[in-house]
Amino acid sequence: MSDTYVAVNKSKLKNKKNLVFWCWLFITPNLIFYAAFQGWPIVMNIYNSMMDWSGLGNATFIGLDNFKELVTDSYFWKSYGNSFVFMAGSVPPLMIFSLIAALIVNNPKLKFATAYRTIIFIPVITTASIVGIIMVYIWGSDGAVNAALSNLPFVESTINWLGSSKWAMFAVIAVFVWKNLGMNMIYWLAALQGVPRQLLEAAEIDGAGVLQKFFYVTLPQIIPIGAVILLVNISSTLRAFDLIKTMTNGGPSYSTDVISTYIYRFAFSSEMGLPRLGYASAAATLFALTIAIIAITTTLIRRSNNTQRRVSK
Amino acid sequence: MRSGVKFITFFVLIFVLLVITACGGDKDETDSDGKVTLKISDWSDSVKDIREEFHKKFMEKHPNIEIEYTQLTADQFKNTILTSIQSGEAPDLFPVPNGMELSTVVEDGWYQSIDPYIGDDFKDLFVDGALRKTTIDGKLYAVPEAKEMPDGLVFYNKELFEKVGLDPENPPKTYAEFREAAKKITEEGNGDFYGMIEGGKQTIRWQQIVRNWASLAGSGINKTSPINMATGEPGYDAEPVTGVYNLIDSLVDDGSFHPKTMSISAPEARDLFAQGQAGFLVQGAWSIGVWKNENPDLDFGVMSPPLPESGRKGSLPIKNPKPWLGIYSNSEHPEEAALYLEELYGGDYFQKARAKKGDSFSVVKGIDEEYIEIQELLDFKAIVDEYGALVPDPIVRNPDTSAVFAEYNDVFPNFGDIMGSLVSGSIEDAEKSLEDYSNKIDDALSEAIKKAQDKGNDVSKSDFEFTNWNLMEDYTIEEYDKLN
Repeated sequence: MSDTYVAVNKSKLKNKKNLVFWCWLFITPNLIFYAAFQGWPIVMNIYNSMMDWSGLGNATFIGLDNFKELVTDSYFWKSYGNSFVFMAGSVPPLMIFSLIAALIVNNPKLKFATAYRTIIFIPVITTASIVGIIMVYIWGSDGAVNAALSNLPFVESTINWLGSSKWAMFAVIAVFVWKNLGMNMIYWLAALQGVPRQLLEAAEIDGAGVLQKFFYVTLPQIIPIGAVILLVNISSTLRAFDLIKTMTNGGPSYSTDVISTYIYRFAFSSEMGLPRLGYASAAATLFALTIAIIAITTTLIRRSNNTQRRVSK
Repeated sequence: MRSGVKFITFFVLIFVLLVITACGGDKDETDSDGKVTLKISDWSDSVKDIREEFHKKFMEKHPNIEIEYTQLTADQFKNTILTSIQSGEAPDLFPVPNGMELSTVVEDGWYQSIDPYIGDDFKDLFVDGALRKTTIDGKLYAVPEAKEMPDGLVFYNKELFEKVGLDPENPPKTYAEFREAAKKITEEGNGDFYGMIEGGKQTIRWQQIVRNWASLAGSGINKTSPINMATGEPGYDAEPVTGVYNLIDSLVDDGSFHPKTMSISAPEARDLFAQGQAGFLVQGAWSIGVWKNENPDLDFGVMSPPLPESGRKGSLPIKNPKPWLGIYSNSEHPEEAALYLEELYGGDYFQKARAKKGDSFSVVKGIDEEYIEIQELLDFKAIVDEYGALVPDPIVRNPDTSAVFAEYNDVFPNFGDIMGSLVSGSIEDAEKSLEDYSNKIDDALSEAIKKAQDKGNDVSKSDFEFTNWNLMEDYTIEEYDKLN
């Protein structure tokens, strides 16, 4: 009996070892690529942030001088703030409009649903820089947007969207939301596919209307995936670059200057001196660090809340 | 588990091998039939057509050389060349990027001397002083593209002038007259056309207005130094500069700027000007050739920038021609690259075609005098002859100052950004911003000088002060001698 017991345990141990082996085997390529294309650049970025370096020639170690200069630069903080304004302005409409679009095209009674899905998804596969260039004309002072607005009876004068520091951010956000709506819709559609049909049918039998079914059955089911979509959107809006670069180049008067365009300006362009790759690296590091602190703090608060809830139960 | 470790090791080795294989390429650009591929890259978009024609003729004449020409925008070029240099794969011939000094990049090993591959007759092709900034320690490292002409002259649409009752043969001369003319064009245009248009999305456009116009008013500020070289002070908050900002502010108040100004780049502004959407546009001589080719019906004139009511107190800044194409230090075909340069400057086609096209002014002796045919280009030259003057250059005075420029950190927002903010309505009053900018410029220059000194360069702030500079006259080589 004990021999059998030992044999079973050995077999379990062997299986476990095999499992560990296969886990490592499948993770290894990813780890290698992560180390080469993410880990190493992050390490180098932190290293460069402590250098006085133009990207050419020799670098000089200057400790935290780049960071000291950075925190006293009001334009760094302006671009820092603009990054969050861009995120706050983009993410809620992206989440809401894409969910509405997904609910509509997910309706089995809707005719030509595939065609609508394709139309909404097309901007996603269009290059952001091309979209940016075209949108300069569409949102120009005599572009299509103003032409449409001027036909409305209650509009007295049109807006210089991209030429005004008050409105440029709104225009860029609107284009960003439009461009990325399709991808978010696909995420939501995937979530909606996972809602058990029986639950919806049961709710319907119980007399629930469309809105009640959505708020009491569908929404609770898709919220966990919604949290993932939210994180993806926050991450992509904080890294936005190509659209802003091509539409406004951070202007007018730095009103759409976000961290990415700020970093670009110092890393690659210069008027009289050389570019400042070290300083740009410091800006990237500081921004990443603050994002990490925000993320960790949020996680800790959430965990603490969950623990308290469990204790109170 | 040991077999797992072996497997992972094997996988890592395979990956490393793949990376090595991908990185290693055959760098020899010579075909099996002995044909050499010469790679060239720059951003000279206004002469793309005649450049391509030149390449065709060159390859016909030298069938063993294949030219691979890549044209980018100035910004794209600057971004890509840094990466190309770092990876050791830059083109055989490429220009010094804007904002960088030849001496700095030569020290960083970008270029090799052209001297071993050309004869003295090549240098004799150029007008006096053309190779002053392209030569380091007596060795030629690059060639200039064209003469450096002021790029802040004003083009005006003669047809619009006539339409609104202005005299096209008598354009405005003072700030007040300029404002009045722009206002009149805007009012008469009633939304169809405006007084002035600029490629305001590009900060450099505003910088060029400030540098040229304020220089004519006596600012002593130009692109060869971050500060006023006549006084040694930054000078961005002085009257000659603030006067220009006040003028631009008054144009904004009058609504005289085309509403698209802040959202377009210079080529777009040039195109809208050609479509008759604005009365005035500030650009360089290269626009003349573009309009002649693309908008032959455009009736335009060129005028000197307006003067303050107190009159002219300086000149349009003319610099020594800046370095352009040089031969990459790792080029495997320097002889062919030098041959290309000899044909580009001394050949029968390119310089003459360029002068006829009206793109710019040639650095080759006799070309302008004989081949410029376009009247507006001759007018442009006449204005520069009357109002322009050669400005002093700290690098000519003391080559070590190039180390200061290498250490110099640009100040943001710069004076172009400040003007852009004024036009976009982000700020009401530019004077405080200019005062801050002046202070920061002073600090940035002092810091750069200190860093250059720490690296063993014999430089001081006095290298940026030219006490014998008469703003109304050329700063000649004799003036440098007197100063030293």
